[in-house]
Amino acid sequence: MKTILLSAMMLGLAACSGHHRNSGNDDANMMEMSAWRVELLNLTNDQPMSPPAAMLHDAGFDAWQVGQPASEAIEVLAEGGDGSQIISLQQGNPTFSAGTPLPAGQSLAFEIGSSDPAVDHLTVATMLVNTNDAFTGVTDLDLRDMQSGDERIFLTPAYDAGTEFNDEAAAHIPGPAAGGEGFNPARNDVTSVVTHHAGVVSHDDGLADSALSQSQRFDNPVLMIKITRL
Amino acid sequence: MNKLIPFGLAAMLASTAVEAQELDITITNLTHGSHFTPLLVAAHSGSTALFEAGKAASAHLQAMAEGGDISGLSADVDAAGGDKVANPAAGLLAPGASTQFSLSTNDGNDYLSVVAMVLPTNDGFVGVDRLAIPTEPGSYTYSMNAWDAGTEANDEIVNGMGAPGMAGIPADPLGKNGMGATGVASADANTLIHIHPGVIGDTDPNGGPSDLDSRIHRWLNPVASLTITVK
Repeated sequence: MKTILLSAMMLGLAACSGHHRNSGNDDANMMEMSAWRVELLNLTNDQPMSPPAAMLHDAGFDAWQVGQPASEAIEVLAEGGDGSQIISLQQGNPTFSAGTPLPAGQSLAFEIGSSDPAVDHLTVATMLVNTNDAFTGVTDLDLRDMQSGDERIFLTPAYDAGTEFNDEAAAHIPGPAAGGEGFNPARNDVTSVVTHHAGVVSHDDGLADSALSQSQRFDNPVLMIKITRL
Repeated sequence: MNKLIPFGLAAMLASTAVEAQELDITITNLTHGSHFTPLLVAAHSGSTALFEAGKAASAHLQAMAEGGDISGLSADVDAAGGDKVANPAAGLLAPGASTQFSLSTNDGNDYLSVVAMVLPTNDGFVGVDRLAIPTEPGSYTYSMNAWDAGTEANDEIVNGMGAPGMAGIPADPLGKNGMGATGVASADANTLIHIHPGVIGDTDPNGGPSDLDSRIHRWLNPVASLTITVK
């Protein structure tokens, strides 16, 4: 397993000088940095994941919710693998953007932190690129009660953004199995809210015009997220 | 010879070593049409593992995943000073069946790992890697997923082959497999340990791509439950 360590530490000094959340002991908080190491491992057989995007934020920010329509930011990620909009939803927050996709079986790690003690929730998102609009990750994950050295492992399911019909046609799957279109603002899914993904059918399982083979099929979980409080 | 995989995360050092424990364990096969070969259940320190997602399988893990042979992994547990129960179900664990047994753990063996081959598959196995054994009295239930060892193509051809490196599936204990399949896959895209994508199967008993039956041999995660009772 190759692990690439990438540093995405944001000192967040601008946030400190902007709006103070704890006016009583600003000086102490300014000096303290809460930071986490996040390792992502692609657990699938043949679903490369788009360059993962991550952000630290206050409690209560949900990048997506099962049962709610996907935001355009999630649609852009889930259909085309572009995570830039998701991590732009809260300006000035610490973010991480991988420079390359995450191949099946591979992992990458980064560090992310904030000097603002209220910025202690994590969102991570990435597309399963050999699909129409499948993505995975965590959002509004509470990291508050992790002590230095604590490690937690999360196994995440595949979600369906509900923004594109799962036709598995080559023209509509951007990953290397097909090389088709990514984001398209038209929404044509039969269920128009975020749900769990049911997996892909593939031409090996009877969907004759699917661009996918048995190799791209997957079961949950699809991503392992290992978080260590530094 | 492949040893247990060293595991060096600093976080593990932070975990408190616990005293020896007497655990009651129940493992249930949640699948509808897949058996588990003899289970290996081991308690060991956080510095060793039977398998690790995203890593290449050891030769002993491969032997378990392709043919159900846990002798190599059992020896690895012994060599690492671990505690184990090997083959608690005295053979295969059928779909829906449970096995209950006790495991005595020594000081420092704070992590539990479980493996068994899922049959019929080429190199699929049910497992959990380094579960922190709870210390407070109570009953704790966990889910276990099906993993792909990444060591053998999922051709889904039942030909009696279970030796490491030999293509094919040893058998279907249900006796519901077909014959004469041409083969589903010729290689794993991911040759490291990963979540098993599942089997495809077909409905042709005398040919087609697969010797497995798509109506019988599929599963979804989780494929097993694990209950640990701390007294």
